[in-house]
Amino acid sequence: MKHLMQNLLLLMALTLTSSCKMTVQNIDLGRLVDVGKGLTTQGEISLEKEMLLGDQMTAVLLGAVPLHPDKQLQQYVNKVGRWVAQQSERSLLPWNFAVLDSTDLNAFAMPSGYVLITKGLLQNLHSESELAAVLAHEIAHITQKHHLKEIERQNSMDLMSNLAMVASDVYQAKQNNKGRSLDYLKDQQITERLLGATHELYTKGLRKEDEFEADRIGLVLAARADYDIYGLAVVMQTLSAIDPEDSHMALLFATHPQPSERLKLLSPYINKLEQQSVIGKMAQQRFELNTQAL
Amino acid sequence: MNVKYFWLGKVILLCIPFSLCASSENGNSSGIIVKAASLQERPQLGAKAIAQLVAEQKVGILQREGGWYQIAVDEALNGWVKLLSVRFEKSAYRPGNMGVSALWSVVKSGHSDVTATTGVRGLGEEDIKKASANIEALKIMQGYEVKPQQAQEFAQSGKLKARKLAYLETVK
Repeated sequence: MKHLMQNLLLLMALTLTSSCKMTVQNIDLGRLVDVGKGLTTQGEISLEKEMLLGDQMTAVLLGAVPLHPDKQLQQYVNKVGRWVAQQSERSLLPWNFAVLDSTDLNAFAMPSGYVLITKGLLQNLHSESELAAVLAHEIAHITQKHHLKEIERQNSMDLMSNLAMVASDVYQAKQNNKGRSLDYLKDQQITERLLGATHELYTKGLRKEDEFEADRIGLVLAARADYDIYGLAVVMQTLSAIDPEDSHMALLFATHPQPSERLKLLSPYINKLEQQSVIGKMAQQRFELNTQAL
Repeated sequence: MNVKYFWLGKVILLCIPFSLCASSENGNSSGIIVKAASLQERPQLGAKAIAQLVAEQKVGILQREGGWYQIAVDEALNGWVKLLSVRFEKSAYRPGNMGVSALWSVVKSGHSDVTATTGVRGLGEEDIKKASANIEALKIMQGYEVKPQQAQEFAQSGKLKARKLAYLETVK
């Protein structure tokens, strides 16, 4: 019976949205559904779909751990992050950064421009260039669409049935244009499968080569933003020195290659930038000033 | 604040306990030389070499300037070494003992109980696996968004100037 209802709703949603061209919040719903005829258009997930995924996955992670309460701290991290993101090929995304109130050390990237960093990791950085390096690595995951590609590879969720139902709710949502309306998320229950996909993706992590690529791309993004080129190296040195058995590192080490290996692979690229005389700033004092809330 | 005196103060504070007992127990950043390297007078290529360091040699890390660490070899000798020539000595984790507060750990008490901090919240596999969507938090997070113009002003006030730089060819 439940199946029948779901199929009817899906049919209704599809008919409703395909019968006339309508847009809500600049999302062309007809196109969204057309795209769903195959899983993706031309092998790529559309931006609209990416944003829906990103909203939902971020909401789930925020369900695991609260946001850090200090607004100034959140603003500071957003300023650094946005400045670095501006140097990327996807600078037009609505980039959002936040600090999580956890003593564990970690950072996360979600599709469409969401980045999270824990208090625990922030406490172990020494300068703004190190913060920029961490954020640059996460930004690189998003510019390279690593998580989206992993989802496509897994092909474990019936993306389109979920998104079609969301699309019909978005249509029904009120037209108060306050940025990206999230009313649809309140009304729409995330199906178990999307929830499960989020749980799996962020506890299993990405492929090693994606992590190494994000290190290399992030290195250049931070340098473009005029930060010193050694930020990420120092972060790796710091992580390498913490007892790997420590529970604060558990999830990070379960989802990433060893920091010493990352540093070893990154070194030739740092040397290349050295040869190009790329200097950059550490901005240590500004970091100390802005992280007093930690 | 005069940067030079800021660092001078820190170095003096660090040298006191370091000279009494060179260990990492009180949170000094202790380092180990990774490969043979020269200790230089200044953080610059071509600066005068004042000593030769050997692999596995223990040193105290005082501060960083770009691609160089200022290290203390013993009470009498310190100088600069290339960043990648050093690794940090492994130590038991205490919140923030590796980071910006590490230089202060000499001044504060050496003990820092992990569980003593308020609101200790782990973020492990289980926490993620049982999480469900928190829409209110997502809205708050979106409220922190900084627009490009603000980011530009922030960069300017830190004297950061965007530069064009191509991604690097993959090294084989």
